[in-house]
This record gives sequence, C-alpha cells and structure tokens, in this order.
Amino acid sequence: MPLLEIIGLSMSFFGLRALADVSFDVHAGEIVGMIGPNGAGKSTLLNCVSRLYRPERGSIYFEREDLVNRTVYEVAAMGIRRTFQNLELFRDASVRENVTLGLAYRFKSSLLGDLLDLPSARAMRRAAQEEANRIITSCGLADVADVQVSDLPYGVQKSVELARALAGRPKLLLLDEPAAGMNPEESRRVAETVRHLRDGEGITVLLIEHDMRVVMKVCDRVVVLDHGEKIGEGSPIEVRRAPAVIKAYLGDESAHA
Amino acid sequence: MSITPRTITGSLVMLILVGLPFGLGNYGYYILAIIMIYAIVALGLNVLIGMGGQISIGHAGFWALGAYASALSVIKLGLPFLLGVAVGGMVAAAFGALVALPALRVQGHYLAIATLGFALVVQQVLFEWEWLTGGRQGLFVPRPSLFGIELASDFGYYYFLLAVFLLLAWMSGNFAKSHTGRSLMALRMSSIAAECCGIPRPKHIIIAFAVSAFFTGVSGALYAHLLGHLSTETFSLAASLSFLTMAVIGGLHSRAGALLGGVYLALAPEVLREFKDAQMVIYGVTLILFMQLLPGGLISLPEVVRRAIRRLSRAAA
Repeated sequence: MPLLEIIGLSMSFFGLRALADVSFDVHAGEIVGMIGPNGAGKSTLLNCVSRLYRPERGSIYFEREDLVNRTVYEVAAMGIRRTFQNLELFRDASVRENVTLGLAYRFKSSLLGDLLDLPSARAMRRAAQEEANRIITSCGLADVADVQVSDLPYGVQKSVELARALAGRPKLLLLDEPAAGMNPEESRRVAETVRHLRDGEGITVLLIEHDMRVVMKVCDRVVVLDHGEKIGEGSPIEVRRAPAVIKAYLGDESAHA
Repeated sequence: MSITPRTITGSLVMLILVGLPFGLGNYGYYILAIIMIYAIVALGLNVLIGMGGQISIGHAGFWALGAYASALSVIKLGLPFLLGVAVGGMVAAAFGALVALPALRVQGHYLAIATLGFALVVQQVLFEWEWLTGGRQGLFVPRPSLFGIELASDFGYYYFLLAVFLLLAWMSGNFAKSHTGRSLMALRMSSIAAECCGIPRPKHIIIAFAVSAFFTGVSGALYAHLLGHLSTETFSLAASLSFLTMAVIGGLHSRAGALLGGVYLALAPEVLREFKDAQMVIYGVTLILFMQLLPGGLISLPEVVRRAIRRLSRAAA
C-alpha cells in the first residue's frame, strides 16, 4: 500500500497546462525524486500535495485519505511537511521561534488557560520548548538558536526551514530543491541528511532537485516531468538511460556540460 | 526579580498612575477614568491589529454592544455591576467571533469596510430597538458599585479602572506568549508558512477578533457606568476611527503604548476643541503621519531616536 498515491492529477493556470494526468506512487520509506526542466510542473505538483493549490482533476491519497478536500493546515497536521524553493520562513523571528512554531499545533491549550497563564498552558509551553531545543541541537543550529532568521546566511536559513519541517514529526517530507544555491560540498551534506532522515528517522521523502549528483546519490526512484506530463519513471540509472528523458532534460544538460 | 531599567520605569509609571488623581478636581478624575477606558480598547486593538495583522474600523460596534449589554443586564436583570461588565465583554466577544467569519474571506480594504458596516448596523439596531434601549431618549445607567458599595466618585472608580486595565494588560501579555498568540503572529508574518506548519488560520482569526472584542466590550461596559447615560450617537464611525488612530499613535505592539494611546485620545479633544469640525481632519492626518513616519507609535520614539543618534555618530566618526 503506497503512502502517497497521485492519480490523474491535472492543473492549468490561465489556460496554460501545468500538470496533465500525472500519476505515481510513493511508498513508505522511499526517497523519490522529481526531475524535469524548468516549468515542467514539479513545484506545482508539490503545491497540490500540500494543498496550496487545488488540482482541477485527479486525486491525491495519503494513507488512503483524499487530500483534495483538505486544507493546507489539515494536510500539515496529517504528517506532510515541506520546505520551499525560495524559503518561506518567519524572517523576523528567531530560529528557536521558527522551530517552535513548527510544532506548536501539536500542543493545544485552552483560550482561558492562555489568557490567565494557567499551569496547564505553562506546562505545554515548557514541553514544546524542550522538544524545539532537541530538534535545534540535532540539526546543528544550537549556536544560532536565538539569532533572527533574516540575519543568517542562505544555507543556514535552509537548515532552519528543514528543522521547522522536522519539528512537525512528518511521515512524508516534501523538499523543493534542497541543494539549490549550494556548493558541491554543501550539496553532498544535503544528500547525507536526506539519507539519514529516511534511514534514521524513517521519514519518507519526495524531493525536487536539479543537482543530478544529489538525485543519483539519494533517490530510490525518480519521476521525470516535462511540460506537465510524466515522461519517465524508474531507478536513477534507468531514468538516465531512457531516450525520452535524455531528449527532454538530461540531453540538454549533457550538451551544456 | 532583578532591577533593570524596565522595572524601574514600570515602578515609576505605577507610582504616577496611583498618585495622579490627588489634587485633581472632579473633571480631572473623569479624564483619568476615560484614559483607562480608552487604553483598554487600545489593548484590544493591539491584539487584533498588532498581533493578528487584521484591521477594524468597527470597534465602536463592540464598544456599544458591551455598553448596552452591561447596562441592560444591570437595569433589566438586576445583575451586580461586576457581572454586568463580564456580560458586556462576553456579548461583544460573541459578536467578534461572528464578525471574524467574513474576515476569513476578505482582507485589507474589504475587511475594513465589512467591520465598518458591522458598527453602523449595531448603532442603527440599538437606535431602532426603542423599548429595550430607549432609542432616541437613551438609557440611564446606575453608578458602578462593588459588593454593595457604590463608587459614587470618579476618584474611586479610577482606581477600579486602573486595576481592570492592569488585569487585562496582564492577560494580553499572557496571550502574546501563549502558543495561540504566537501562532497568530506567525500567520501575520507568513500565512503560507504558518498553515504549512499545521496552524489553522480560521480558528486563530476568530480568536483574535473575539479576544479583541472582549476587551473592547469590557471597556464599553465600564464606560456606560461612568457616563450614567447611554445614547447611540456615542458609537459612531468617528468613534471607531478615533480608536484606530489612538491604537496606532500609542503603539500597536506594546501595552504601554496602549496606555499612551488612551492618554492621547482622552486629551486630544481637550486640546483640539477650538478646531470644531476640523478635528476629524487633524485625526486623519495624524494617523497617516504616524503610519508613515512612526509605525511603532509614540512608545517606539525613544528607540527610534536612539537609533538615529547612533547612526549620526557613526556617520560623524
């Protein structure tokens, strides 16, 4: 039984086709990569899964529940968390605050408790803080925990966004170009992190990546999109050899290389 | 507790607030009481605008609901004053939650117009509902009394209002550091990021409106018993606008700012009385100037000046 099933997903913007009848599965414990040229519909697909977009046709099942009629925050609370290509952080807040907000929804308190600062509300805050600290430390952010996010370099901001996503204890993690803007050394570390998340934490990952070294290294399976259509799917090696893929995407890149 | 500049300033302000009425006449007591009543509205607006990033030019509606709900439950139901004030707050909070429903769909100018419409409807309904509210005649409201003792003078009532202000300021501080309050601020910073963190926007916007309306309703109730007479003219569009102006001028992100806002709104009419109809223009221009030049309000002035001096001295060096 797949963890995530995407069935016949279609979407267009102002008559421009962004996704056309795309179907594929992601199984629990897999790392699946999505590749394809710019404008292929990869980010659109991710946005459909996290429900920032509403697909025009098709279904998205997560643990057998259809996500299409769910809201963004319901999807997040079901255990799907994500990062963004261009970062979507609480920029004016500290690293600690960002990570705490990533897990706040799991710690519910009553409005009366909040207004009167009852012991129940205080205990809740303490528990959330402890868990946030744990995540900050394990993501190597302890040194910058109290720094305002907008004052941090881009690479660190990306780690903060990942830490915030992990704070939600996701079952499925959606990563939109985790290695974008990174040097080869940093890309290698990103690949290791993704591997570790699956092997160590048991998190299933669906990621978009342009850096083929990262894709080849970490993905169990790769889905190739072009002009909104799925034009290939298979292991990284299979995909690399498929003529349609070479023509649409890899061919381009190897010609430039 | 350690002694910091903040605690020293706080104690000084408290001393002034406690000592202020002495030597002032009846009119002075009344002005002080009004300051507290306005400052409570500003606390409410701080929750909605400062924390929630929402807008309202209809807070006179919640103020009216609190005032009439409290006055009527004391007059018609014979409830004690304190309970009446609580009823005023709760009724306003319930309407706050209702007003939040359109706010979930519209933002910015549209939300402003929706809240404005709400306040006009409240004012009109209270005016037409003559057998209950006295309509044109208005309503006579008994003086506040605590546990059977009437607070006949505004001198005594001021201390009671000060206590209520401090209580509500404490509550809004608690709210700001609670998960609910922080989630609300997260939605203001980036609603996409917040919702992707599992934070439900609808629930938090409803809470923001309800809490803000509760504070405003309590203030309205306290105002009704101060004035002794209610008529619907008080709860006009001009009142809603001056509330907004006060909250911005005092500072939307600070409880001390809310107090400053109250001082401003209580004293400005005294100073501006000469200008008659031009007053509204002056309010409007002040509001725009503050939003452009000092968005943190009066309370942020020392910090802004400090930063400017630092920049200047660095430029000179």
